[in-house]
Amino acid sequence: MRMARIEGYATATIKHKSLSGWRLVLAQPLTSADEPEGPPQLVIDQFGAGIGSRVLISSDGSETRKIVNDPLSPARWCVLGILNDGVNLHT
Amino acid sequence: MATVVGRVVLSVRHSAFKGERLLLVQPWKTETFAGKQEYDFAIVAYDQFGAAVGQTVAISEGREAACPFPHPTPVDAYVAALVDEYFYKPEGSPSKGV
Repeated sequence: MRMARIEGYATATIKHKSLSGWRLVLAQPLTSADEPEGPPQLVIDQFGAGIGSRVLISSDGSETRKIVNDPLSPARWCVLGILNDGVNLHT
Repeated sequence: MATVVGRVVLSVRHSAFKGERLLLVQPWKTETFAGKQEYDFAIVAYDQFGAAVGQTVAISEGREAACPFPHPTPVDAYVAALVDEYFYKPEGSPSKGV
């Protein structure tokens, strides 16, 4: 699980059938210091997270396959939840 | 996200590959999202949707790349979607989309 910030979204007409109907957002993984780390990932979003909001994402493909309800889905990342505003990642 | 840069054709193939279409794709780096022509090292991805050279695609890597196949298939990267358009606006910068 990683903290990430929603920085965009993507649309696709031709895609694996398991992805139809799902929102694909671009999530930038963050370090504990709130700095971007690694390239943004395309993530299945079931909660309607807005641009700029911080979310918890998971790379657990088996959970993502359960969310899209298709055991043959190639989807890997999913949004697990939206962080409350003002959550401080610094300890 | 990745950009298709070429095709790979096999004359001798693994028995799990039948009628496969393999593409050479360059995964995007953070700089690519910002509009620069910088990419990660090219990888070979399995394509079932007919992506063309120059097209932007969504790829799955790792365990999930082999999931769409009913039988165990040696696939490391799989084209999951052909991206029509995307919107990208990192915090504190002007928006960028295609």
